[in-house]
Amino acid sequence: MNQWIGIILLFGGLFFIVVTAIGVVRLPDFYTRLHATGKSETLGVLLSFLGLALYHGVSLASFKMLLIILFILFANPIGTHMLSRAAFRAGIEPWKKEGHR
Amino acid sequence: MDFFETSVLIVCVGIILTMAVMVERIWKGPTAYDRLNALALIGTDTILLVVLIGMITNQIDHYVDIAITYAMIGFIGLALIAKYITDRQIDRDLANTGGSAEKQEIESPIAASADVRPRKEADR
Repeated sequence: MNQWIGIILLFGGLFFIVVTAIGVVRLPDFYTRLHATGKSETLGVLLSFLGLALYHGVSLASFKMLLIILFILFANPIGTHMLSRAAFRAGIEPWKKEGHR
Repeated sequence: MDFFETSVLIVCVGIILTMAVMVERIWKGPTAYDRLNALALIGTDTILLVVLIGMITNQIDHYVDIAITYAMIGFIGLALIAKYITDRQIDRDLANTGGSAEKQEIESPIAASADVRPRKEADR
């Protein structure tokens, strides 16, 4: 039973990673692309590792996968925030729709 | 090959296609920050790919350690490159304004009223 839940979570993570790629390629601005990076990618990798850990059962490798989940949960939004702060200080303007000033 | 290995292979192929799509953003990103963002995304996907390959080859005990190391080194590299780009940009602004960026912003009323907004003339 745990293995089926693990496979379902793995495919859910793949869905969010594909959504991240679509967002990074097609969104109009640097900051909107960071929006795709910071949330969707974190959730996708987190779901995939959770599925793998559920499939593998209780072992040292599963514990290390949970450590990777914890690290990515902190590191990915922090990296995104650093990038956005660097870009804002360098003077990249946020995207606006035409007519909205 | 049982069902789980097949699904892991499908996820592997999907992640590799995702990384190939994000190479386009690295190729034609307008700014350096776009390229760095896509590069960090590919690094994060690589962590997952390493663990999936370890699940396929039944050597998960070794590959998980490689994944942890790759995650930490990738985050440190992203932090260093982002800080390097920021410092380089600030140094160039100071050099363009003769070392007195704050004084010029106070002197012009437009810049003083809109100092929250980013500067337009910066390098893209």
